[in-house]
Amino acid sequence: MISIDDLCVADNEGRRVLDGVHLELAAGQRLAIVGQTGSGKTTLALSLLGAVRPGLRVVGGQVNVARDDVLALAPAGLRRLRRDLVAYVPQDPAASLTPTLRVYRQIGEFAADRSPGAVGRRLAEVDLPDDERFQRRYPHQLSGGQQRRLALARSMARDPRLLVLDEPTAGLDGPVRGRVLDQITRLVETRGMTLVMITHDLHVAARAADRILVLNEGRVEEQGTTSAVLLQPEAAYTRELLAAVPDLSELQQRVLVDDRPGAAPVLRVANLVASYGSRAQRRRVVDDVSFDVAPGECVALLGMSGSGKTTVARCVIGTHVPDSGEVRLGEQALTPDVSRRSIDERRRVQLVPQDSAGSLNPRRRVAATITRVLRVLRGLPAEEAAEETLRLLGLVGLPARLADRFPAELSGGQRQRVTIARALAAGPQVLVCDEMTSSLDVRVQAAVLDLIDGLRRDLQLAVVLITHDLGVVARMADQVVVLHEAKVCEQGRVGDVLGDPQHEWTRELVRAASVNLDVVSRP
Amino acid sequence: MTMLYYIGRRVAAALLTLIAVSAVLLAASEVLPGDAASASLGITSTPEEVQALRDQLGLDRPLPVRYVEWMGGALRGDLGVSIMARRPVTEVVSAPLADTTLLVFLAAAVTVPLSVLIGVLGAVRRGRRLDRALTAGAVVTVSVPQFVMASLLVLVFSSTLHLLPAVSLAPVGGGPLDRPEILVLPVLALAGFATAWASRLVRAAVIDANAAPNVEAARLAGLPERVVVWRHVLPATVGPCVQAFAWLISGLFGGTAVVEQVFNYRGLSYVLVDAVRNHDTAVLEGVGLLLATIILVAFIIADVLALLANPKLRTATA
Repeated sequence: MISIDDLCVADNEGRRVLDGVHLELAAGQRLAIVGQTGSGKTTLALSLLGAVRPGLRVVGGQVNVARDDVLALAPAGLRRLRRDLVAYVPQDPAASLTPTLRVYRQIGEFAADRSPGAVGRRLAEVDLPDDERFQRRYPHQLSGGQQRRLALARSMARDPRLLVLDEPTAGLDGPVRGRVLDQITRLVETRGMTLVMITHDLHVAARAADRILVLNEGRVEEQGTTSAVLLQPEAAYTRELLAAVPDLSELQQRVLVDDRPGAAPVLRVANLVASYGSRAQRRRVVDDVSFDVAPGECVALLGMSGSGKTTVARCVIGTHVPDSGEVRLGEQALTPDVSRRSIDERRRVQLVPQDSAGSLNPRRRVAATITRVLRVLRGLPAEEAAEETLRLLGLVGLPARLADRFPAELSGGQRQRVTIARALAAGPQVLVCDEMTSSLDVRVQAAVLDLIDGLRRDLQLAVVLITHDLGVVARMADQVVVLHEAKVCEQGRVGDVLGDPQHEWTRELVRAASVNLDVVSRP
Repeated sequence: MTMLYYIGRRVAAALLTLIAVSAVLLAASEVLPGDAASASLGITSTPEEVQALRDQLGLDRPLPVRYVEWMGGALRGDLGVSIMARRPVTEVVSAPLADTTLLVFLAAAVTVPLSVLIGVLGAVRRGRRLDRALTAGAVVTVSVPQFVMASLLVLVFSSTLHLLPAVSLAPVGGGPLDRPEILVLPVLALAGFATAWASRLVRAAVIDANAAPNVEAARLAGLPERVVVWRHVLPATVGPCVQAFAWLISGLFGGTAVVEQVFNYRGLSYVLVDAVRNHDTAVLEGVGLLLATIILVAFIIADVLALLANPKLRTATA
């Protein structure tokens, strides 16, 4: 079906984005292309459609799909290839739907089958309602999950023989991710299609693909059957990737610290209740949440999006005023509103945000960002602040030469380290980390998690870790609070909660997460 | 439901704007040196005569009183009396306003389709020879002052080719539509600049929409380029473009001031120049208010069109 031979793609500066890629895939096989951001995954996938992103050009090699030499096709031939043979669903499927077209037009635009009811059948195939009313809707009137399925149905409407999916599970977690993958696998199997799927997540690859190709900086590190690549990885890079993925099995390898007797909690959250919206539409998003964090301890708030975990964090740092309940720092209760907290109270509770790019002032250099905190919250004189800034950069593993950079000149992992240094600059007792690694690649994520773990031991920081990732919890947390629909459904020591979950929701989470690398042992 | 609410809010905002405009207009004519009484009586008048006229016109009453009175009249369609013409302002202004509006709408009728055509062509052929030529043409046209453009048109089409009249005087007792050929050069002079400007905005909007992920997806799905442009790119540009065209109407009214003078087209600019010279504040205020109303209506229409072109806003419920 697919045969790629020595494909080389370079950018305008001549840097190789893909370097000598070979790939053979038979009809009906399911391939996962695994790699980090910038490894060339999307470029490789797009080459199957004969597309090259602006700024890139093919400098050598051949791509054959079915019998076509894709890179040599004339525009008309290329259109025929894309229309009849290969379908592509981009990373953000919702954004790929033109907002001014109704559902039936989205499908009907492509449908090979123009008989009445054809659109409805296509919708039913991806578990979407097929009635008239649904078909007359616009994309914005669908939920995110429905948009995703509509984009899938749209790409399938031509009955392509090869389906190319770019990160089909980006932004999904837990059970939802599993359901999406199952649906894709089912469709591909019943239609006998060939699947090429891009992912950075080895769990996803393990679950949905029968072959894996590991891509690193444009080179193929390794390819083979899923079980061979995951169970007996040959390339050092693959082993590194596998080790970096946090998963449940790490619980067994970790030496869990027992309760520290006598360590008085530094942060106490008691009976927190918080809501959003005005009168009629007021919705309770946090309902009676309590937990304590001792110095040097890491408490994870675990939950899916919408479970209220970020609101808890906002109440702790004081950017959301709770309806009732209290947040105590040491002995004293904190004022709910951060703008009424004293400088010292603000200093002692610091946030590491999810979106490091958005939280750093784009016009302020790294050093200035950190120095400002030292001057404002700690009142250090200029010279001392400059020295301390360099020390902090060293502490979070950033070379001093980055001090003069602007945030846009840093990688995602470096930016996240800057936000950590900025938080540490205040000399906090409590560090609130809100999904701080969700936008990072596994290897970078592993490094950032290690950094936080080391810091909390060395500085006796109390860490509140907000995450949807069970693997991260298993790697980092001492205690875990599981949130589901605003309520705590389970909390306790991480070994107890994840090892023997009591609540139905926690069980489902654990089940979804444990369908990971061990599925490769399926026949 | 929500759409009516949205339009209602726009209309309310427009009314507030009109109130602000009227207040500024009255305040501005107040600070002009001299007053209507002395201007209309001329330099030979005695101070007693001036004072008598001031009393008659009510110019000595406090400003807020006069403002309320004026606004009350304006709501009933009465904009006061021109001091120079000794006739109601509405009567003095109506014919020139209609003629100027005719000019503006003809210019818009030329500009809108032409700038859409040029803008879309440029965007679709971005960076190619045609786009570069159109861009160069637009930059040159925008850079040439409007009176130079008007003079050039006269030089080419009337002085050299003798195709069209250089002076756009309507026949006595009739309107410009009785001699439509006098409209051609003023409309061209206005539309040239406007097209150059608007086509740049259209081009930018199309380029913007062309870069959207849904357009890339449509191309990767093998749709013909014609379908991609018509069905996936252009609908997204309607909103930004109609907004630009509302600005265009406002700009065109400004442009008529120069163009009318060059071509001797008896529109509003003559009324305004006379009114300023003679301190005929009632006329100034009346014209100001009428123009502001026309432009605000254009903006409301643009808002509604943009709303209709966006299913997300159109179908929003409470």
